[in-house]
Amino acid sequence: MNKLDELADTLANLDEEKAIAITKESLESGVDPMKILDMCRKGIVIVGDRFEKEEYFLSEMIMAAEIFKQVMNLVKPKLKKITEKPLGKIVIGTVQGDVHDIGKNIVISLLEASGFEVHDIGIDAPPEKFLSSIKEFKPEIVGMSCLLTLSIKSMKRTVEAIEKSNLRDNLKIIIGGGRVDKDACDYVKADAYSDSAPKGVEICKKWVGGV
Amino acid sequence: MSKTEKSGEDLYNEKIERLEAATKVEKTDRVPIAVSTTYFPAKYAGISYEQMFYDNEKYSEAVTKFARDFNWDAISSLRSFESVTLGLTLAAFDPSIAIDVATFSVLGGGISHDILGDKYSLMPGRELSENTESQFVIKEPFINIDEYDLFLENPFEFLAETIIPRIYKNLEKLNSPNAIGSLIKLGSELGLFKPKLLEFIRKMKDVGCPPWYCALAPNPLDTFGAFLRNFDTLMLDLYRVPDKVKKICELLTPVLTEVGKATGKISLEATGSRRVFCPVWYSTYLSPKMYREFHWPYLKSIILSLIDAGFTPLLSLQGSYDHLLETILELPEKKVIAWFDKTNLRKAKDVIGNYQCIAGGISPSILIGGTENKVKEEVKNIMNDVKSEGGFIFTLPFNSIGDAKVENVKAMTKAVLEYGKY
Repeated sequence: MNKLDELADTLANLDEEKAIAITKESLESGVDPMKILDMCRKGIVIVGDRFEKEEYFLSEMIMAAEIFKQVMNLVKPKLKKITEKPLGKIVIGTVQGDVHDIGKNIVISLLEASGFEVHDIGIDAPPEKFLSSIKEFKPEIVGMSCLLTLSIKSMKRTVEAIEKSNLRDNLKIIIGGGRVDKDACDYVKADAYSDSAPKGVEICKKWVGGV
Repeated sequence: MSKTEKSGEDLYNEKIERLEAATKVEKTDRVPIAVSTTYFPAKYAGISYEQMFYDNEKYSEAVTKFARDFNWDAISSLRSFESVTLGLTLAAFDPSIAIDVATFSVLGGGISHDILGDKYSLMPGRELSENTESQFVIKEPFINIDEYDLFLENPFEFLAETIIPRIYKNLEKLNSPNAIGSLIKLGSELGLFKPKLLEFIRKMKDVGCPPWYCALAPNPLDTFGAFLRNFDTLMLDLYRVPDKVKKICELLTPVLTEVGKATGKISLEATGSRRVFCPVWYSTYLSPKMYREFHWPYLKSIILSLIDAGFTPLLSLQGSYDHLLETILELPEKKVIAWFDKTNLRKAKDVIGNYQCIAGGISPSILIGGTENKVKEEVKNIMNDVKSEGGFIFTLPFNSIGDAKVENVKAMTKAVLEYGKY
């Protein structure tokens, strides 16, 4: 087994230093950057499995996403052009009135690690920002994030604005955050909810046929 | 008039006793209802969130009106946390001043935010519109990873000299007129506020409503993450510099234990309640292994010290605690209240049984978007499943009902009284 083969497990075991060292060595010895990326994605899949089995919780997911991000930063400049088609496109933002972004950022890292093209519209994003981004990027999925209870109403207003602009058909909407649950999802009229980043990403993958 | 006052006091004492009995897992007449209400009384009384933070008189009227009209067993009106770090910095100088400063923003509202110019909070009527809830975030870490050793070597001096200027815009240059003036202003406002606080507590006694909590024991990991490092960066530190994180937790444990005991004593004397609020945040993000390594040992030490000193730790286990429920069984029997947020209450009851008092309730989403009937059904189901023979307090997640419909909150109250009977 050469070193690169260890990368998936190294990432899954959250060994940051070793993962970076393997990446650097592999790049220096002329390994195809796409292969490194593939190994990282395999690592993220292992992390996801461990999360499912409740061996890992959110802190492990955050660390894994952080390692993935660092590897990507090393690999990206070496990729001539990402020729592969993204798994799907998603516009994601924290809704108007809420400035929290920890949850959103974790979801974004995991989505990117899963092969999604992610358009992050930031925090405190008003409905108009969601509308213009949907028109510009034509995503299959819109993700709305929040921490506070007050944001549930804000999510509802955003979904209504999307409906009014006739952009709701063919669009899947997922809401996420500390205070969302089934009742919030029904009220907001979203298609799905998740209070856990990895579970939310699994839902998105299913929607675009990635699982 | 004196008769009304007396009946207010009787009501107050009756509620204190009902909550005490529930804490000891003894059967009472009914399940008590005790909620962290923060924003809801403002909304109910028709004042803005800006007024709630900046007009203590109006907020005091709003809270007492709400308390009288809803007649719950306890409510809480603590507001924000901007001055906590400044207070912590003064711990070695004078513990009593440290407590006063730390709790000023918690009890006194937005004025310390204006005076200190902290980078923690966005406030209604300041950085936010007048009816948006205050938000607390750290964008960039205040303590960097390479500064852990400096903090460990000389914590209070390092905080005062390096970290305080980073957190508070008006204390950026400590030997400037702006900083000196700001501190004097904070002191004089604090002096003006203290009698008002006692007056507020008296008014709450008149309307017969004890505090759900009025004392605070923070724990090391959450405090370090939420006030000094930042929330997600600290999570990476658990893997990168685990030993240093543990040393910081060890360092903070005795200091925060004293905060809990000191605020507990003040609260007990003023309000008659033994409860000390112990908010717990990181638990929801940590695996049992990580929790037992970085969080629980220190939290448990503080809890045990509070119990030894005669207080009732009110463990606000925010987020999900489903994976950690067994830890509650490690604490002395019937000495704490385990207040759950998103944790499955039925599962919690299965694991904890009658060993400790459990507090929990229904999803705030139902109060915001549901119907009165749905609210009633949910309360009924919860009561049937977990009220047992005692040891249950009906509550809601921390600060979660600002946007609730008034009619739903009324329906919830009615249902608790009806289905909570023993």
